[in-house]
Amino acid sequence: MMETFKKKAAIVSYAETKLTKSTEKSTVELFAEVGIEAIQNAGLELKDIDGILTKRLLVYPLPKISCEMVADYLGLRPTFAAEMETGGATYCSMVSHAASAIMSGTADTVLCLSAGKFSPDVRGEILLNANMHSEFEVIFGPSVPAMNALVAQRHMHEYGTTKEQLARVAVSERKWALKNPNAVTFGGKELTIEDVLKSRMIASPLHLFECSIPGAGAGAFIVTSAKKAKKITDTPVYVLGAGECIKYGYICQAPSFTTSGAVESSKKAYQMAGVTPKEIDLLQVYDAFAIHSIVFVEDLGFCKKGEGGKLVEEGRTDPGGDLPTNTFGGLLSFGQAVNASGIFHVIEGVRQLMGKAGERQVKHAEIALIHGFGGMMSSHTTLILGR
Amino acid sequence: MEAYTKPLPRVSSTSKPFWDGTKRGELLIQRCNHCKKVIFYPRICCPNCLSKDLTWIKSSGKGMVETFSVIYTAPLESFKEDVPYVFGIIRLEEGVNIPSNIIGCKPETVHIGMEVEVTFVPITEEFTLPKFKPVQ
Repeated sequence: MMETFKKKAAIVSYAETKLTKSTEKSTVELFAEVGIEAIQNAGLELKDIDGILTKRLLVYPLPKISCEMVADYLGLRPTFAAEMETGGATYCSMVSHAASAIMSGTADTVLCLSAGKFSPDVRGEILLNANMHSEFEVIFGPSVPAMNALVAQRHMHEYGTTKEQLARVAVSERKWALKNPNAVTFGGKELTIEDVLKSRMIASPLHLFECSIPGAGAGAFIVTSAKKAKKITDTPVYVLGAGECIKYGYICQAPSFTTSGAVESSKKAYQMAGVTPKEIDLLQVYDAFAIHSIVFVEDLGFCKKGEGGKLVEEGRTDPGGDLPTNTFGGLLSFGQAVNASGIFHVIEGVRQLMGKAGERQVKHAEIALIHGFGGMMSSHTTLILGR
Repeated sequence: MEAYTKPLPRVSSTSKPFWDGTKRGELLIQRCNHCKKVIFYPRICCPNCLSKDLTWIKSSGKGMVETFSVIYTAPLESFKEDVPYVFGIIRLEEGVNIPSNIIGCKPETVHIGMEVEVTFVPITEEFTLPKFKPVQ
C-alpha cells in the first residue's frame, strides 16, 4: 500500500523573475534573487530553512555543485541537500522529494530553486550530449527541436493530428502569456494559426513559433510540513500526489514515440492523490515544443489517445476553456530559461491555487496537475497539488 | 579527405566491433543468447534479462523509416553546410530501432514507412558511419 502525501506537506511561498531575452546578472545572482524573495515572502529567516534542492547547471566549464553554490552565497547551512537533474521533470520531483523528506523527518523546511540563462557558456554540444546518445545519436546532427519533431511527425502519422492543431497550441499559450507581465511576449500580439505556420521551419514539422523562446530567468519555492504551513500562510498549497517514470534514456530506444511515460507517472500520482482527471481544475505541462501539450492532455487522461489535437483546437486549453493549460503562457510564450524552464509550471500551479494569478486567475481552482518531463520525453514527473 | 569537424563516435571496448564492422561494410547488432532479444545500441548486458551472453549478428541493413525530421536549423556550426538534412529512426528488419541520416533522396520525399537500406559513409580514416538511403 502506497504511503500517501495527502496534506502532509505544503508549498507556502514562491518567487520568480521576469523571463528576459538576456541578463547582465550571473547565474548565482539569479538564484540568490529568487531565494531571498521566497524566504522573505514566507516571513522566514535563514535559520528556518534546513533543506535545499537545486537543479544542475548545463554550462561549460562544469560549474560548482549548485546546491553548495547557493547555500554558500545565501549563508544557508542545510542538513538536507541535493543537486537534482531529470531535465524539465526536475522541479515536480523537487516537490515530491522535499515532501518525502518532510514526511520522514529528514527535513523540515526545504528551499527549492533553479536559475538559468542562454549564454556563450551554454554550448550546443553540451545540450546535445546531455539529452542524446553521444556515440549513436549526436554524430548524425539531430537538433533538440528535431528530436521532439520525431514525436510530432509520428503523432500526425498515427492519429491524423494536423499542422493546424499543432499551431493551435502556440496560439493558446500566447493568449495566456498576454495576461502575464513576467512573460517574454507580454505586451505583444495574439498569434493566429497562419502566423505560426508562416514562421520559418526549424525541424519539420515544427516551425519557429512551435518552439520555446530561449531567455533568462529563475524561480524558487518553499516546501514545509502541513503543521508549519498553516502558521506561515492562510493559503498553503498541499502536496496531494506525485509519480515518476523514466521510460527510456534515449529516444532511439522509445517503445512508442507517441505514448509517453506520463501514463505511468500520472497513474501513480492520481492514485496517491485519490483523484481522477475530472477533478483537475487546471493543468501545467512542460512544453518545450508544441507537440507536448497534445501528447500530455492525452497521456494524463483528459481525452482519448490521438484526440489531443482536437481538444486544443476546440479552445479547451484557452482562457475561458474547461481545461486551462499553461496559464502562465508556457515555454512557447512565457519563454524558457535553460536550467530553470520547468519551475515556472510549478510556481504557476501554486499561484493559481493561492488565488494570486490576477487577470488570468482560474475560477474555483481547487486542484492542479503539473507535469514535467526531461530529456527527449525520457523522464516524467506528475505532481498533483490542492488547496 | 577534408578535415572532419563534426562530433565523432566516442567508442568503448564494448562498441568497438560495431565500428570495425561499419568499416568493413557490415552493420552489426547484438543478440542475447539467453532470451534471444536483439539489442541496439551495444551493451555489456541484455536490457531484457541482464544476461551477459551476447553475440554479434550481421543485420540485413534493410528497414523502414519509423519517424524523421528534416532539419533546417543546424544544432552545431559543423552541420550548417548540410541543411536541409534528414535525421530519422529506422526500424531494422531484425526488430530494433537505429538512429541515422536518410540520404540519397530529396528530404521532402522522405516519409514514415519508407523502405530504406544501409549505406556506408567513410568520414575519417578511423570511422565509417552507417547511413540509410531509399531502396531502389
